[in-house]
Amino acid sequence: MSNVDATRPPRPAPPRAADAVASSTAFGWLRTAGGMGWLFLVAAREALTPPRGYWRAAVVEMSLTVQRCVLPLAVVATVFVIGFGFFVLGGITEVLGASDREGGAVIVGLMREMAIWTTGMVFAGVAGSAMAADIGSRKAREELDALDVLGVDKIRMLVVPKVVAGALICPVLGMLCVLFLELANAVLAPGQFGYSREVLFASTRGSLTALDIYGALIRFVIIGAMVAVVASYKGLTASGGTEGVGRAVNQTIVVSFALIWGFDAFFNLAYLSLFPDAQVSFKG
Amino acid sequence: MSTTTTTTAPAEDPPEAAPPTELRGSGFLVETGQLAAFAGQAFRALPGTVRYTAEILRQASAILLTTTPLLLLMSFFFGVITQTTGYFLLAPLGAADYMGAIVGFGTHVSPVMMFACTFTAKVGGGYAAELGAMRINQEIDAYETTGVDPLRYVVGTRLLATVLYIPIGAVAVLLGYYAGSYLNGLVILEATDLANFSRFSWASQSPRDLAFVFTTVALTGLTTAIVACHYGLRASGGPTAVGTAVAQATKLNLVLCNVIMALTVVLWYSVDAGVPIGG
Repeated sequence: MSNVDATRPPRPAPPRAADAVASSTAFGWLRTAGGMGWLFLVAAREALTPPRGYWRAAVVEMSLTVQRCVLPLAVVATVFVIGFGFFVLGGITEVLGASDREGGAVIVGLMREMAIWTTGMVFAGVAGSAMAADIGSRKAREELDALDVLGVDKIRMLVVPKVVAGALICPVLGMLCVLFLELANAVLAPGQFGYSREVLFASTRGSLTALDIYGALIRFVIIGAMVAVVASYKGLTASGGTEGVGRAVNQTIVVSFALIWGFDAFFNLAYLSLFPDAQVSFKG
Repeated sequence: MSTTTTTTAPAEDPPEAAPPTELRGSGFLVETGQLAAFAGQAFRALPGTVRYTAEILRQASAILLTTTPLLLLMSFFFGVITQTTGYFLLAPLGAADYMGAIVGFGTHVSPVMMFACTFTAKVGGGYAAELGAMRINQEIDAYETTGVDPLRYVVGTRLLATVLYIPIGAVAVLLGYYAGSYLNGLVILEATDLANFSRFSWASQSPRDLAFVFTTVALTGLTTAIVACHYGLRASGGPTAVGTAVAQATKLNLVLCNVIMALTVVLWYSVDAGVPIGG
């Protein structure tokens, strides 16, 4: 029987379900997600094990990020608090006859939500896109292949400083954003709602809790690392020359935005359910 | 030799475009002026675009198929977020029955913001990347040489596709937002019952709010598209060119979107907050 099988020409393999799965869009997404997770794990391991020669590059990256982000962040934060903090939150408190609590409502709203979105979006749109463009253009210029040939670890050299810088600088930018928001509110709100600045600060102090600040800081660290990992992954996998770099930058921003919002939605739900202490806020 | 004639023609422009004296900080003004000039040219070319109906519809369908699911997902997240925030502000006061009102107040913020972010990132970045790649591959020059005006065929069709997509996008963000609010408010947090929820949710919205959403969506969408096309068409240089164009366009668009949203909020809600409580 085995002879018969051996003389037969090999039959073409029947179409397998595995191939259909491997070529589907959903599998592509899954593979991208897996690649990003792998890149994060590798970068974290390289960052935590010696030798830690990446500090200089990380500091340079942080300084570049601050220079790129500060001006857009200031404009976005100020405009945001005038539009939404002021006329939406403030308008509601004014109609309720509690406009002296506007300061508290704004600080709680922005510590929990608004500062996270604005910082996350500016960080992803400005710093994340720059990181992706940097790594992607190195890929397009075949510098990454040159690094491989030289035996230099490109993840340690390029990705680790960016992830470390993102995780460390995003909380700083976030607190700067809170400062801008609060500054705009302190300058403009008393005149709009007709109370003194002491009332505003009292309401702000009464409503701000340490838990909210810790929660915001944790989220900033995670968002910073996440955006840096996404940007590095998209840059490392960019293909197709200069067009590929453009596509990589675009996808970096889209994926980062989706991750920031999805993460924020479920983080807050879990955080406020697990820490009921944070709920008693919004004092006058 | 024909190549030399084509290269000498644009070479006359740069000396004219460069400012005579490099003032510190003048880059911003020059940039703004170029952007405004480009926007004017793009609008003037729009009447000639209508003949490319097939291309307009092709662009619009590309946006429709790739961006709508993302818009739905993102505004779904935003619905979840507003309900969470509202619930943990209202529940300690014993006012969880009024959770529906959060949906109405949220329409002052959420759908427009979600549309602006997603549209900037996905469509605006996509336009900049496409146009930048076309510029680098000299497709734009090829259009000019064959007598097709790129402002009509490349920019105009994209602008009109954006205009076609704007109402659909506005409806998509509203639908996603309602779905997220419903799921989080009634299924996850179980704040109140459906009748109560929908009563306050519809009572706290008015046609004025919907007009706000549509106006802001239209303004942010159009501005984003114009800025992205400008930076895409201006791309030049080596392998970084397209990436830089996308990054620049997104950076400026994020700021512009926030400025436009704040302006429309001030226009709509500064006098009357649109809250159906009290007088």
